[in-house]
Amino acid sequence: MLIDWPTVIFQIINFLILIALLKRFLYGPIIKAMDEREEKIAQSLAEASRAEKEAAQHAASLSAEHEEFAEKRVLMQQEARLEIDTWKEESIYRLKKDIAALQQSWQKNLEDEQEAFMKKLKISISRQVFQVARKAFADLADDKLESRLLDTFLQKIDKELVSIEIAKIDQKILHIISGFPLHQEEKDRLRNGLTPFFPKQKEFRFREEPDMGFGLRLLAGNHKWEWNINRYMLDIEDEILKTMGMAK
Amino acid sequence: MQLSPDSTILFHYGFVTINATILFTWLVMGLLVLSSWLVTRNLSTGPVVSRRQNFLESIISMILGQVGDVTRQPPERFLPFLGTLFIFVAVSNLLSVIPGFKPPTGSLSTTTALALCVLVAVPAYGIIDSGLGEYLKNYIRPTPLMLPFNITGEISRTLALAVRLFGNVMSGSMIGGILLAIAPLIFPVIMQLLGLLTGLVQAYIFAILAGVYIAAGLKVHEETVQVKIHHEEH
Repeated sequence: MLIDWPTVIFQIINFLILIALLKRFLYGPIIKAMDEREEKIAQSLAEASRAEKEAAQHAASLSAEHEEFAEKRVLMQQEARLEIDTWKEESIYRLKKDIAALQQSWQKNLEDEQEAFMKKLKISISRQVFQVARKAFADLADDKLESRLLDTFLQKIDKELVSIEIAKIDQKILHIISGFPLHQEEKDRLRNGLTPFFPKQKEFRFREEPDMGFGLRLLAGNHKWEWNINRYMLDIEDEILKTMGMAK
Repeated sequence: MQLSPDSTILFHYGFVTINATILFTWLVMGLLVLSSWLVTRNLSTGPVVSRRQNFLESIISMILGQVGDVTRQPPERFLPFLGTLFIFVAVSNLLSVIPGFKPPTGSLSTTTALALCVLVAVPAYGIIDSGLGEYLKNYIRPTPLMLPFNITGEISRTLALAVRLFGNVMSGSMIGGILLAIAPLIFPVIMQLLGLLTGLVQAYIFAILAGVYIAAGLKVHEETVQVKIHHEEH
């Protein structure tokens, strides 16, 4: 007989023991280790995908921030440019105003200075001219200048008195004021020259006022006739100013 | 000529008889348990795995894959039974290349023991899965007339399982012995190598057939449950 039943029973027991032992020493630990490894891999994969997701979110938020920042920067640049432009325009405007004011005041100063200078010049010139004239006349014709003045005065009186009703002047005394001393001869000439115009006036009073300058003044009642060097001076001043291009 | 290592008696005391089959079975068991313990006492769960652990893991994964393919169910609960069947038969057959080693699978007593285990395991899994009554009803399906045929089938396939493994392993050893007498050089080596292949194939066949029988016991139940649900829906 090929089958030995006691051996069969032994083998069944052996096999069952082997199952138990292998379950304890082989399948249990190995499967546990495999499961654990699988779980670890799954965990790390899940972690990796979570990290990836997080990174993507982070990247998205960063890029959004970046965009926002760029937009803000553009806005700020525009604002800054606008502000700068406004400031520049205002500054230029202020500067122009200041410059204009300065220019105006400078112009005024200049004009004032010019005026002052002209005044001085006028005075100086009139003095100079007067002196020169006086000297020239005195040098060339001794006291002829005064006699020439008398001639001129008498000629002018001659013309001007025509338009006035001299007859109405009741004043008996005629005042003749001169800026220089008159000789008796000159006084006589004046008296002779004026008598035909003033028939009612019998008395001539001569007076000297050196402040008047080179000139003569005739006072009859309320009327006054005068000629002096100042008129020339004015003419000369006008001439000079014209020549200097500053005539008003 | 000895057909079975059963006849080599090493120790005898009353009912207890220790023969070569039992001794070599213990050797195989000791080898398997010792090597398993050596490898699994410090297992790594990290990404770095030792070669021996990797080897065992790949064997277990392969067995799990095959069992899963055959049973079409989560294979973990069949692993201890079917895996041990495969590993024990395979290691016994492979060790037969060692001179003087008599594979325990070359004994009809051993193969009968394993086949009896399968014979018990098939209804055991079925009963655990669906209960005793439901499982026993499978024997009278589709009609009670099929009861004797079902029982006969159950016994005959168990017998076939035992005799197939025994015949193959025994004949392998026998052919080796006979060839050694006829052509002592080279040819027996080739036959021995071929014996390794047939040994592995037999281990695979034995385990897979056991799996198929167990799965068949479960499948019948599953199908009846599905048919019931189908009827209730209508």
